[in-house]
Amino acid sequence: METEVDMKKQEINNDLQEVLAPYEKRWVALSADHKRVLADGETLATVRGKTAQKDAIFLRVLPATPYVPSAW
Amino acid sequence: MVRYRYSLLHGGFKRPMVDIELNGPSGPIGIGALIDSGADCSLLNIQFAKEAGIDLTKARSGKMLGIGSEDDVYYMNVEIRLKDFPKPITVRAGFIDSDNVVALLGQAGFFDAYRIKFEKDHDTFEISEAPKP
Repeated sequence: METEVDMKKQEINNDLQEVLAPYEKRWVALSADHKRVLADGETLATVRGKTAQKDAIFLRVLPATPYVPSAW
Repeated sequence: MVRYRYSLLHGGFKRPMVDIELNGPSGPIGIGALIDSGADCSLLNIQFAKEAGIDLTKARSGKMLGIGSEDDVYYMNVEIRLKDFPKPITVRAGFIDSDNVVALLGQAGFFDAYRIKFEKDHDTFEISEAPKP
């Protein structure tokens, strides 16, 4: 059974392939619904300076390579 | 409890990602973070500390072991909040100057505060507040 919060999460775009692919190795501001990139740049400070939306999500787009967390 | 879908990234990788806020003297900053049960503690790119106004001159410097290298890290207790949860938590996090790190939510602090159930077989995961001991 889905809760109210589950329904809310369905509004978030979880398929970021096309949204983020053009910005590999760059910092981006992502819209709160994850549907578009609001700004991009070489540094987080640059991107924040270009972004008016208070609810933006910031991240660096890492290369499309597998990730392993540690050397264990 | 909040149920999330794994994020599908370019390259076809599906990862358990959540939106968090990092709180600092300059105000909160929204971050797309990866939940990483294999990391001993949380790790954030150093640029987030600068933007949040977190003074790393007060941090304890140390090392963190990754694949093939030991990297310099600045450890601080910081306040983060999952965007879908009302209350912030304090976690001990490392800040690292690396182009290959965005934000990892690791065991210490984060996994103590939240119960996380991965259901990769249908690309979802659930987060709920951990019961108080």
